Amino acid sequence: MKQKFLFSILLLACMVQWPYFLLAQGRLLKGRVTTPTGAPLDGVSIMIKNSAKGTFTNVSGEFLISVSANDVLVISATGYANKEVDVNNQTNVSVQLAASNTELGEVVVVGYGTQRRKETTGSIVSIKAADLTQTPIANVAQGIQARVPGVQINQNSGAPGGNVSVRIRGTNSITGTSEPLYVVDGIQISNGGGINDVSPLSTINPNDIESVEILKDASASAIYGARAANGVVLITTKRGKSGATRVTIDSYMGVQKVTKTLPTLNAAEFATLENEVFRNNFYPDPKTLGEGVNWQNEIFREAPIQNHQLSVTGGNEKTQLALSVNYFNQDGIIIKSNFKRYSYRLNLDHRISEKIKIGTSILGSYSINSGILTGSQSQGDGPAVTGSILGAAIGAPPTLKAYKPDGSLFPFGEQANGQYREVANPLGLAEILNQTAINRTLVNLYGEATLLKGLTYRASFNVDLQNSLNDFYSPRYIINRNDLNDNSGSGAKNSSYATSLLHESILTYISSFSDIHRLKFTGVYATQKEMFRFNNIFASGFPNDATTNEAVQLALNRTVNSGRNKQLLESVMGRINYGYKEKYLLDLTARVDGSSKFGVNNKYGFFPAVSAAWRIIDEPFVQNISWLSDLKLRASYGITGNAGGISPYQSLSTVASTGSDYQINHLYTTGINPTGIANPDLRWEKSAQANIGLDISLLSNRLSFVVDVYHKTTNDLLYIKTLPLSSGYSSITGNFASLENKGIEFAANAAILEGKVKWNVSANLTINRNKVLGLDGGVTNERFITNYTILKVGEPLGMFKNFVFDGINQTGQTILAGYDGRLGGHRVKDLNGDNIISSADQTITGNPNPNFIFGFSTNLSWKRFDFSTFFAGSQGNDIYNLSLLAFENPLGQRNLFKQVTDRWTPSNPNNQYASAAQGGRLPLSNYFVEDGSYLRCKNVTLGYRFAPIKGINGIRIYVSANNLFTITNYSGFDPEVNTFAGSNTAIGIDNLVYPQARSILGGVQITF
Amino acid sequence: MKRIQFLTLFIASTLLLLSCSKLDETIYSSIYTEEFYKTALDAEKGLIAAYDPIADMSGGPAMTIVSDFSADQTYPRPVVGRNTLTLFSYDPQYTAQTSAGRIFESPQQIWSACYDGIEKANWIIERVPNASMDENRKKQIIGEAYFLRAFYHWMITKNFGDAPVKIKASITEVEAIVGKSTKADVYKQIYSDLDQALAANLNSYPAVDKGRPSREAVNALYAKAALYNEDWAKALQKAQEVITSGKYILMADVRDVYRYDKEDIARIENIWAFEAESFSPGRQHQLMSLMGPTGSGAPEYGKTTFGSMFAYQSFFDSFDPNDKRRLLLDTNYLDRNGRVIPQRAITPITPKGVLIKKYQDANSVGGATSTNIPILRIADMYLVAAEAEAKINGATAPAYTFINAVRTRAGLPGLATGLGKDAFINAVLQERSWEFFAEGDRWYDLTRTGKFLTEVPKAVNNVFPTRTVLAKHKYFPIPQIEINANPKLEQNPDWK
Repeated sequence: MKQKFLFSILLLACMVQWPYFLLAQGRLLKGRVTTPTGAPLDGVSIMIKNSAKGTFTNVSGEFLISVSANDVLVISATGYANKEVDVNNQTNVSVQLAASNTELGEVVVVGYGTQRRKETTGSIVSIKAADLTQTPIANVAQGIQARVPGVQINQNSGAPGGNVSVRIRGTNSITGTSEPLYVVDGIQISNGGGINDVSPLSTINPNDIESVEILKDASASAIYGARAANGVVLITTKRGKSGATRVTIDSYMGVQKVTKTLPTLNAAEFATLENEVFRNNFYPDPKTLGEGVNWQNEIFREAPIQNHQLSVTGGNEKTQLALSVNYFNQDGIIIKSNFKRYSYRLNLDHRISEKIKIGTSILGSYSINSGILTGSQSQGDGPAVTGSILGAAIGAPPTLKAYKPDGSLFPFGEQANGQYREVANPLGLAEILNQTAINRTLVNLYGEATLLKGLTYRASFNVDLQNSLNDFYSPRYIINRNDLNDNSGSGAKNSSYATSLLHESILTYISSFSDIHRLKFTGVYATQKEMFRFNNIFASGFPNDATTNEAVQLALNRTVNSGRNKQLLESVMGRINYGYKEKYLLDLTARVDGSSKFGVNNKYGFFPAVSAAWRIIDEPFVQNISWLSDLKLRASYGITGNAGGISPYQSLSTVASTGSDYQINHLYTTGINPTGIANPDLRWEKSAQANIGLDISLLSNRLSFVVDVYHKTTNDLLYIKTLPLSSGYSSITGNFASLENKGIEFAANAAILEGKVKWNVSANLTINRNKVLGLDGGVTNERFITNYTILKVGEPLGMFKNFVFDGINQTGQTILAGYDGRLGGHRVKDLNGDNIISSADQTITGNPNPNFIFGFSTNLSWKRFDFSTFFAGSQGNDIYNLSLLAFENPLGQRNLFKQVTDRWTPSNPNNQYASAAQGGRLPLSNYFVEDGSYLRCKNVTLGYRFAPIKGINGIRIYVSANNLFTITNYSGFDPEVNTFAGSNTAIGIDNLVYPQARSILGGVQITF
Repeated sequence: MKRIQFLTLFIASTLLLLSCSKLDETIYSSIYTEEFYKTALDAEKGLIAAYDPIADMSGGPAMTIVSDFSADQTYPRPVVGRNTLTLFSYDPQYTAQTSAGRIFESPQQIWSACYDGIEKANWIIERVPNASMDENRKKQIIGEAYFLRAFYHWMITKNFGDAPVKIKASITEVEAIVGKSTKADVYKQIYSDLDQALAANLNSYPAVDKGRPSREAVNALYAKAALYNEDWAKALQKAQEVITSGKYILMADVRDVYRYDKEDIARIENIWAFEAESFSPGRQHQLMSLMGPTGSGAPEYGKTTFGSMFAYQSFFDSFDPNDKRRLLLDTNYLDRNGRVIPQRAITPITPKGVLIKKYQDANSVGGATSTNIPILRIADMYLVAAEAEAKINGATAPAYTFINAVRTRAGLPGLATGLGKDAFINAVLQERSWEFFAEGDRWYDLTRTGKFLTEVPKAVNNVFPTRTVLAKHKYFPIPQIEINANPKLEQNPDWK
């Protein structure tokens, strides 16, 4: 075995020379391994008995191995009975493996253990590695999108490494987090972040993942107690198996492009509009200006993406190894944006003796994200063109130039007599450095000992280290020379260090009193310590751009901030799985979580769950129904918690420097003051969830359905309750709200054709409804979250509330007071008829929550070809297209969308586009509400597998197209959008975020 | 045997971790309230925090434009949110300001900043007495906190009338919620706090730190609060105390009061002000930018100016041409190339744009100016004394002396003699208008005298051709957000 190890390392080092190593074998034997029904088996270990030589089957079940006539092949695969085959004189063997009697079917990963699929009582969905990485993804959550019913994944930003929001069974929080808990090989990590942030999940290489299990209902997730209310995503990385060593190379390269650009006024149209707005002749002859610059073409580009992975797995009975290295590099479709990741993984398991086993998984990554500001959350028209490169590209006057004749950047303030100094040159915004480098290491060490027959103790120690450094520099040369001052040129260095230490002791006892009763007990004690520190330096007034932010001491002004916090979690839990004749199954789970973040009056929370399943298929009365191959009814109820929204020290009475400052004797001084009112009752959010599910398989499992119905009530929701301003504070955070999510999930899978042509179709559909049940402990019924979205008791989260658009104020029409209405401007309805436009005339105008979301995919294979497609969609959700607020309003001094050419004038009294004689903002009305339904072809892949050749087990080449097309009526860049990233309450809002790319890739997978 | 050792190791390490875990919180980068307000520096830092709300309401600055956009001297370029004050179209939600992101220019900003300041002052008043530090400075710190608490309550009551008097720190949620007191009770508290401040051994000018109230500043606020409380005797007494202290005098050239480069010299007249600084980090206001011509057209006004606030032509015309204070207004400006830009081209919104020159800062850093916003001036004390004296004794010789001090400095002859009491008082109010325009003063003169109902409709132009002011506009509506969250508080009856 040692030799085998050396061999694989040598193989790694000398990839180029591989054939020479393999030539030194005997003659070649070809073979194919299938199930009794003829379906090929992938990854079957083929070993030569009593030797270390071996190989694996490829996806077509084929293998090729060097043998001599007296060799015996040992053929083994998980879930199947081992088989031995004498080689003799055969040159081509065909082997069928029968399902093993001892291992009854598929095993799924559950919290703190595994379970046979047939024995599960909760709602657990597994996703295979192949599906997960079908599309080129930087982040595992992207791979789950539209694959699993009950899980809504929104790619908030198309930026490389950008943020993804994940909602399992609806949004379950208001001010807390609604992101699920991620558990990577036992290490618990969290996701989250704003629209311009790097996703924490993007530090984990998706290609290392063996399987993803999503725990949706309370029974499955309750074992994670105070962190389980949003569901749990268990990520298991690939581990070594005893058997032949397998070396895999997996590479793809491709190119990405923006799917569409938004039409804007050309130079001639823009100049005409400017003359009209300012009632002057700033542009003496607009017509001669022609098209001018299309700034979107200046910022979008064709961007390469590439991913390369080398993996080695192998081992013997005592020691198993899985090792991989990966390089991922994605340029963004907007200039200067990029995400790069270098990662490695080592999984090692070693059996010290029959009773003691130890092992480790180590995942490390170094990722560098070069970001560009695209998501401005401000509705103001100023930030629209300065805070986001997309806004700047749409608002940039087509009459201006990007560069001076000498090739240097040409700030707009220096052109056209300073008329456009408030608009940023988009190429200047791209010069702003905003780079985040993250070093992340996840380490798990475990030791497992069998104490008595059936009783196992496992101790596990986990470390999650995450250091990040953000470099920011906004150079002087992008500022126009008239505005340059002593404070120009600003830079920052923001570093943070997060360390999480987790220890878990797990005791498992399995007992079968007889064949009738099966009992499994799991007990866990865990402690976790999370520490976080940050140092932020901000400096402005750099004398020149030579050093950028690397020498902040050169700057005139510097401010520094630092902070540190720590939180502790202490937990005890237990689970009993009981099965009677494998027909009646009962699971009981309970967890107690104590957290340092909770208020002194509520340090410990209790989270129980119960679930049961009835395997009807094993009942005598269905035995005769030949077309029925599985039927199981599941039901569960349980309570889970969510403490994600509580920050350390939030329940305490503390003082800090919270931005209060003043200047005495011309000296600037920061003050220190109380930060709020203590809340000793602060505690976790509490979700009570009931679930009923049905699993049905028909026609020898060729057709299967899973249906789940759930109802989830979350009480004690963290909510920022408004305090009277006269208290000196604006709010207090406490458990002051409640909401409800209920829904139905369907998943279906059909093996339509089996045999020469294989055709498989799977589809899923999710219907979720949420409703706010209470707010502010009853003080308020309704509250504005943004100026156009509300939180209202009895309504879903994120509803749009604003005025009702009523066309354009036409000549002679009475213009009501109260909303800054003007002739030729937007008109809004006076709903209550009091002849004044006031807040009473605002009404609910849209719902950003979809009626349903769905995904479907199909895989077709014929001979050596495989073809697959994958669609995702959302139906019935509205989008608040805030970009129109800034770019359909002829304020002057910025470019606008093309449709403004049809603006209102006395001679063109249309009823849609405001006139150039405005000056104010357009009123926030349902004019900006659009249907955001879409159907997207996320992926089309065509692959070809070569037959195994000497030394190479398999080669597959493929081409794939991602985001090939999207069918939607939405007018913005992309209907899958949210400027407010993972917000629970501000959803479906588009203020121009980084659009998603269409990409074409070519890849190769080689297995040795 | 070996295996047992191995197991023992596992279990021992588990127990080790177990024993380490305690769920008490260790705070690193903040301080428990109980651990603060203990040393001299704690007290000084806590006090700075109590000053901070002055800057918060001086940014917009709500402190002045809430008055100045409502009254009859100046008006805003009509953009959403700003014009609602001038048009009296605001509602208790301050909807327009909220949706246009202009809360910081609205009465709601005054409400939130003042109670923020009151809370921070309350902590000083409650906790600093136990600090171990120099006793004299301790007394002064607490005195400053009393002064600030009085100032904030006065800002509240002059804008909102009856309002909560908050004199206990919000330590628990129960203590945080306080109901309304009558205006009279608010003034009672203001007096009491100012009495405390007077007993605190505060320094007089020029020994006082720049930005802190001097002993005379306490009396000056007392005088003005008493005037608004129609407590004429107290107003007169306190104003006289300030005048006779001799610490503050009127500057020879009224324009020097407002020059960015004479700020420290002007402290001889400027008793207490919002201290602005153009450096970064620093606190500033946007009056310079609002008042300078659009597109940063005139270097004399500041580096970044918007052309968003002007004086009514009728107000400009009301000045005696010899009045030096009219030099703080202008009907043309010099552009970057030194060309004179005539009145019709000052702003696109009206051919009658009148520029205000009280906050010019040629040395600004972009939009950041260092010009202070005066809150209490010695000129005010003369006019408070004149008005109070007339209220008590009629247009007496001392009353004439007080008003003529201000008129003389402005280059005007003495006020016509032989005026009756009411005529004299009207003359004082008119004098106040000329003296304090763009300083956030006029609206309160109009409301406390009831003149707003007659004067405001007259202050119109082509930008605001009609202005409909109603009796309910005497006080601003209490922000709805406060009403919603405060079960003990009801909206002012006029605004229900």
